[in-house]
Amino acid sequence: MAKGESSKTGPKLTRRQMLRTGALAGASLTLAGPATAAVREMPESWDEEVDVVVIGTGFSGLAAAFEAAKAGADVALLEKMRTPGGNSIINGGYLSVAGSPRQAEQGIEDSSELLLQDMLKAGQGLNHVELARTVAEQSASTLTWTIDEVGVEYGGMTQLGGHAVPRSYTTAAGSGSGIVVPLLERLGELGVTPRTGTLLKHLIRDDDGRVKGVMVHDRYRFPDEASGTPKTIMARKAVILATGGFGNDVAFRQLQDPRLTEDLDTTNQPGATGEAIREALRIGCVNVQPSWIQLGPWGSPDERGFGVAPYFVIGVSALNGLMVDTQTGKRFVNELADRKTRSDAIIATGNKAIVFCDAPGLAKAAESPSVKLDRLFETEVLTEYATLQDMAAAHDIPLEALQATIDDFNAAVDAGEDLEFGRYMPDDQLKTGEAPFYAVRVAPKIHHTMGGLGINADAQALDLASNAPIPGLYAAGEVTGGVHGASRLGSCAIADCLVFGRIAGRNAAAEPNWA
Amino acid sequence: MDGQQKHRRLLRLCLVTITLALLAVFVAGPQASPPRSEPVLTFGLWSGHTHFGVALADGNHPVLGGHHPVLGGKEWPRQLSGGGPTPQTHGNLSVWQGTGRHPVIEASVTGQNPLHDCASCHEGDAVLSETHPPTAGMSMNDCRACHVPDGPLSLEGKLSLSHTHILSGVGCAACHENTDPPEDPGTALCLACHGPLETLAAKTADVSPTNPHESPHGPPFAECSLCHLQHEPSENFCSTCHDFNFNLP
Ligand SMILES: Cc1cc2nc3c(=O)[nH]c(=O)nc-3n(C[C@H](O)[C@H](O)[C@H](O)COP(=O)(O)OP(=O)(O)OC[C@H]3O[C@@H](n4cnc5c(N)ncnc54)[C@H](O)[C@@H]3O)c2cc1C
Repeated sequence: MAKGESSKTGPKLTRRQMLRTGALAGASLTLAGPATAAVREMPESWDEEVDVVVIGTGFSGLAAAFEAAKAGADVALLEKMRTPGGNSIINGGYLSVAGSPRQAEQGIEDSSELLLQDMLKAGQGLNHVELARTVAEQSASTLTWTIDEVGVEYGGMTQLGGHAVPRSYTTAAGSGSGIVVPLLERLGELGVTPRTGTLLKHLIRDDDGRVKGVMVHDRYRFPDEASGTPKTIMARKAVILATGGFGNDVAFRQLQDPRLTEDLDTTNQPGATGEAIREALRIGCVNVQPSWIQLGPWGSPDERGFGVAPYFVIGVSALNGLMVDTQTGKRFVNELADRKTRSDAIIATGNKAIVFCDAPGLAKAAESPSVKLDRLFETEVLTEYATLQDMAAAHDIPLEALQATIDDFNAAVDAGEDLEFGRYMPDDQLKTGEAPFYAVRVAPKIHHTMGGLGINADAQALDLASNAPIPGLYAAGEVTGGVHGASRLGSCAIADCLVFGRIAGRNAAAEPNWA
Repeated sequence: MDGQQKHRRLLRLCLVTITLALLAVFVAGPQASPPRSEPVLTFGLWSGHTHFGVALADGNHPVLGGHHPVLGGKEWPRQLSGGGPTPQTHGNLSVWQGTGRHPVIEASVTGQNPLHDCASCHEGDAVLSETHPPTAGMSMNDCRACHVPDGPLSLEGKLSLSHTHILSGVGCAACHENTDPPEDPGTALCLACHGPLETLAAKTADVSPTNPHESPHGPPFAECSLCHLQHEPSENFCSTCHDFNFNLP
């Protein structure tokens, strides 16, 4: 702390008047180059100099750091939390790939165009098509990269809501750690170690419009914003923002969607907050579609956060079971619809919904290497019922209506088509109704922030005033907006983060050295 | 800033105290040390909670043995002074939260035998009851003769882990190559004595609701110092996101 006070950079980095910024921005609009002017003075000297500063250690930051370091850049990889990995390391480990080897093995026809159409459908057409297309087209080569260069091991491949065909790989580890951990290892081999406890405080943008470095708080202790020692790091080539979403920032998310009060649980890590986005906006980035915030339809009110319920809902009941409104005993939505459709439908029941499967349904799911049933049974989230009557009684479901729902579904399986809700029916679709039954209560939780900083397909951050790229600033992953439009499809975030993280890393390393 | 000044004051005070103490207190001469033993991990139920503890059960450091890197071949003083032990419950003995240099640590760095005399630092704090026998020369093992780890007088949670280490003969230089400022020594160093991680995980396999040493989030969540803090009370890092009521040393 004493060091920070005596540091030259501290007092010199005082905030300029926003008025002045506006005036300069206006003036520079007449120039050919990027428009917004500096809003923070350049330090007289920098505490450290590197080629590329990467902020955030999730999929996007790690992929960016990997590509930049591989291209020979000297990389500083910063992370504010005590552990690296952000939401990525706690994530479910589902990665969507169009045209994968596993699909070929199983005779499933798919294409990047089909994946793109699925993304646009779920995104209600709000997606920035060029960005979404980039993700879809590079999903297969990215999978290959994770296997060949990073050393990721995968378990199975499954069908997720909103996808026309099964295309989602699952990591053998059963979570995003199966990608983050080997990426950290490869980065270690390249000499890049995440500096945890380092908060991005300010992006430093010069009068010529270029982002030239950052001011951070070293030895920061989340969530104390004032903790740590101020320090400046020059980025000779570029800064890459990969700070993730803001699902756990109650104030910022309520600015975007006032309904998302602190009463709503979230699947996000505690550090999924918006200060880095606010800073980016302050230096002239543009905010794209920030109020599209996704609720995960597979959360359970019987546990905190992401927990284990999603593994049952996604891996078991959505494929081999049903979701019913406990008040009516009836299905109310396609169990494999996209997240927004399902979350909205569950909320419309007043969060009075359960998902369930029967004994053969559970047994079939257990065959998949990626369904971790043992963890489910260790908790009180999943309950086994000896009979249908027991399950109905426990959740106050009208038994006859529930039985009728099961009979209707089984008839649809016979017919090979779900006329009521249009659910995907594979040839080996199981019927349901054989005791014992397994059930989980569901209540949507805040999961993903689709909106964020505007970027182009080269992962360059766009300038609010000119819509041109901001020199020296890249952004990738959940901190950006546009790829997913109104609703992100499950397993498309990993693809998005890895694809754009790698693009950002490669392009940043190729930037000229301004210094 | 405030805290730093306080620590510096405390440090000065303690340095004076320890100098005086060195002159005044009888220091037990070298004695034969007991045979080397592995760091023992203790597990058991305490206050109705599942409890797991990690501590060196022997005053003799398993790697360093009687040969402290700084002290060279000198043996630790291992004499129980005073009369028969009269176990009393400690007051708040986890109060020291300095970032400055602790006098006992200072002694271990400079090569002087640490006295293990609680009163030499905690003079005004009355951390020991009046009837507690003098602690000068005691090792952690001696403490545990009365303060049985899982018993009602257990020191777990009352004595900071840095103290447990010091009293077990693991001085500050054993963990911190640089002491000014001391850096986090890193998990590999902890595991050199307490590991490997698989062994730790096996010992906490039955902890409910899940094994704290086997996080599904991988090695980044198996860093010892996320939970087991030495110079301030330990924290249950998992509880940042999960309802896991681990009781930890
Ligand atoms: C529980 C859960 C399960 C999921 N499952 C899946 C799935 O199976 N498949 C899928 O495709 N998607 C899934 N998602 C979504 C996906 O994991 C995220 O969108 C993705 O991890 C975001 O990656 P990122 O690199 O953009 O950000 P993150 O992984 O969140 O990393 C951003 C990092 O930046 C750090 N940071 C933030 N601000 C600052 C600052 N000011 N200074 C320094 N550092 C900062 C954060 O602490 C964080 O570590 C899941 C999300 C969650 C929460």
